[in-house]
Amino acid sequence: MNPREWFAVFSHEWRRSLAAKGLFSWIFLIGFPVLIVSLLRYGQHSNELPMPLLVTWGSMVFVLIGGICLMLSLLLTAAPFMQAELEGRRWVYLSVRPGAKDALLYGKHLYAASRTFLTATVSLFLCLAIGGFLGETRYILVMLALITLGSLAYGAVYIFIGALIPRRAMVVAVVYSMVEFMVSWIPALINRLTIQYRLRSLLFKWMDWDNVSTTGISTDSGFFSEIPWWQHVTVLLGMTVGLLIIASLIFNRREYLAIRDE
Amino acid sequence: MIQLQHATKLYGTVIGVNDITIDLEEGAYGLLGPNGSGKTTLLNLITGQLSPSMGSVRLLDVEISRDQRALSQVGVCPAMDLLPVAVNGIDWVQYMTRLYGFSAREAEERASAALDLVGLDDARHRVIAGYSRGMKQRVKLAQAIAHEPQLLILDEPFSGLDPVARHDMTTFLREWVSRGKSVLMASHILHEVEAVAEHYLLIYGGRLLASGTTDEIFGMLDDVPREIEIVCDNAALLALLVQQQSSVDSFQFREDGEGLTIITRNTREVYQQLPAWLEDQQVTIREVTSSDESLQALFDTLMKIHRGEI
Repeated sequence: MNPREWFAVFSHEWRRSLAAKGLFSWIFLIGFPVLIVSLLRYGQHSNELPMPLLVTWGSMVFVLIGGICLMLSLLLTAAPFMQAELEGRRWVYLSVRPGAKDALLYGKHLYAASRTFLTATVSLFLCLAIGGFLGETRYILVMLALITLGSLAYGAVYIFIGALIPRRAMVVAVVYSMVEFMVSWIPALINRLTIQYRLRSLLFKWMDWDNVSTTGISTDSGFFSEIPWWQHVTVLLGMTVGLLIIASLIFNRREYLAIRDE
Repeated sequence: MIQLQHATKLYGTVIGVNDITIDLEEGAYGLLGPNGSGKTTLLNLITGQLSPSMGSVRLLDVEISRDQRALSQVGVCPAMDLLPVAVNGIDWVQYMTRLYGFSAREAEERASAALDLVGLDDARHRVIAGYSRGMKQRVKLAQAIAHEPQLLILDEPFSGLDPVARHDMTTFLREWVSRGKSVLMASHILHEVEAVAEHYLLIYGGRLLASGTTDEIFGMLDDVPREIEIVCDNAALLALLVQQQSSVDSFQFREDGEGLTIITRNTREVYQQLPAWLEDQQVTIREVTSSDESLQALFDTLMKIHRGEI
């Protein structure tokens, strides 16, 4: 493992993402949460509406950014990491460089996570500005931490899918995203398997919204967990590392060919 | 440098490479075989992109499917126009070089030097999509040599090149070999590689049919009857003359009646006799061809030997 090679992939991907096609997806990903909160805030009788509560506004922004925006951004950047190399005619060159497979996997994970972090952060500040919550430092810091954890964890899941099923990675990743998002809202034991549930639990814990007297939401609802925050963080980071290691093992053992033999 | 021990590659029930055993020392090698013969599969096995289903493949004394570090001493130039299009030449070669572990600055210097070496110094900042076929082949070569490998593996390096580009490629490869470096190039056209390679590996149907120098390979055919086709103005007279030659095993008239097809085990003696027929017997010979010297015919003959038909 050579960090220089990882950084080579990381910087190369960043340069590519600044092309017109990459910028378009960036604008879309930043813009759609902003559009939705704008419609909610200013859609009707905007001047007459009272300032929304942070707990409702913050929860909505969390779902839009900490959920949909993160998943969509990583779906577009991490899931097709291998498919793009095979179809983009680059794999045949990468596969004959000794450390390039791991460099590709970890470098693209870092790129996808960092790009998603930037996208979600810009979108977050715009949404908060629209809601008038730019002064809520605690909420901002909590959301930045959640965006970081979410970017790393979702990135690892999509990278894993990309390594496992490279040619159908996008389809499988879309199905996974929909299932993950829906299951996370099921108030049952199964939602504990989702990243979204962990992130939501951390939001409620770190914002003290798990106090039923302030939010009216009981832990019995099953929407978030009462376990200590560090356990959620451990699960998220653990699954990130675990999935990347498994993806690396698959990636280094499988045979991928960009072209058929003669 | 390259050792294969009973290397076999199966794609399900299809055999890509069939029980190949070779031991190649440093040097220039031509891997020859018709399209679909398994050349690319063999190269993929050697570069570790594929693992052998059976047997072993060692590259620079390392089992390549388990440990790919030896690839840092190898440069690979794949076949066809497999290139990213939306990036300029210098950026792409630099990126490819950085993936060998070089710093950005060192990779840029090496990429520049490699592009200079292949004659792409003026076009380095142009997008690859705008390159001609010859330029694409050169930029592919540049990414393969920028890290200064010991062994260069090229798959159909002359494919699609115009005569000037072919000459440049040949000159480059000759210089590469003269610097004590090794090259293994796959091709389906014999004369493309014979200007560079000293040794040949002949592969057909996934099997290694023969290996050695040109003389060694054609020497294998010494005792094999070979065909010489002679187009002349007087086939009957030529038949009379040929009949008297002990070196000729048999002959038959061409379908158009304008010459003979001679079958002989001693082509050299027949060729030596030709001027005498021209001069003494006033036979006007318009064309002499030996179809057995084409690569396909050579493979056909070797396959017949392999099957025990000859």
